[in-house]
Amino acid sequence: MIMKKSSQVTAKAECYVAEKYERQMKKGVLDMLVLKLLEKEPKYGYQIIQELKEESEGIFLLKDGTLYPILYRLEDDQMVLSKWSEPTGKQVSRKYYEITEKGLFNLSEISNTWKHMSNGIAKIME
Amino acid sequence: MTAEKYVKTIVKKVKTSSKRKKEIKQQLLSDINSAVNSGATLEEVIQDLGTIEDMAQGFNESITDAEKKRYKAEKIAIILGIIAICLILLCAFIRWLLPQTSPIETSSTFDQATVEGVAKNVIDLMDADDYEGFRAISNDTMQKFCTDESLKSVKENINSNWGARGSIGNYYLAEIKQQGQKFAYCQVTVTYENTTATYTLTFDRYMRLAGFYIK
Repeated sequence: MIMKKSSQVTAKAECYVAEKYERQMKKGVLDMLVLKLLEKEPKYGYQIIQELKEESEGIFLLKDGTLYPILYRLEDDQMVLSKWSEPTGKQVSRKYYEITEKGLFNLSEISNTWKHMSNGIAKIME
Repeated sequence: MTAEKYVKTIVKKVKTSSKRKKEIKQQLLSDINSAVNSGATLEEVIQDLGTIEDMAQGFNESITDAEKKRYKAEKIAIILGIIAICLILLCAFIRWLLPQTSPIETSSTFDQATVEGVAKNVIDLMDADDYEGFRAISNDTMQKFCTDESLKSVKENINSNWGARGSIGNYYLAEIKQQGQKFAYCQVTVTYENTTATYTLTFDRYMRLAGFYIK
């Protein structure tokens, strides 16, 4: 009984550690992913969350509380611009975010850094 | 729970400027609206978004130092504003409590000649020991306290025998405003055969005697 309980506690602790690292790793790439999603066209918050979920096949399940501070920060850094749309019928006003020239440049730089790091990580993890 | 209430409660817990809070509220409501228009129920959307505490924590964890400074500055400004308003109200109240004096010439309520006339009438009544007549031109409070005995004793405290009246000096007049009420103030010195008496009289806006003092 004690052995069973002890293994359950160990499994829980391992799960917590794994989740913690997953959160930290994801945090590091979110800015890049948001900029990437805005590369082709302006999008609003809920749209970004849905596309991130679909295109990552469920790996990135972002909440509004995490996304919006990222967007505010990108806007403060002039990498994106925002604009409210006009309400249409049942649809209320939406705030669309559009990538700027500076944002495109930084996206390119960050992507290169990511590829470079990925190669290095892959080599270590072999 | 309605979407409005859910979002309002979240925003209340986020420690940021009121401008940012308004923006967060609009964006969250817009997202909820989009999700509901896509076919989800409000309950599903709220469950998907997370608890109020988790949502607020998410925002609070990501607030920049600049934003924190703006929030702090805004809070201080609000507190200082409230203190300033309280101080202004307190000063206004104290000003209302304390008497304010102004020249009778500038009064819109009292006329100099009328005040002098009524003041002389008070002096005449006291000289004639006409205490009934004195009370007839007094307000309710004065009528209650200015009995024959009290008025007699006021005169006797100065001198037991005043003698005949000599001359009436200059009238010093003013308007006094206190606690929203206006009074005419009059001070005049009268010489008598055996003594001198300085009358200090106060009249209400109906020219009834409201205050009486002799020394």
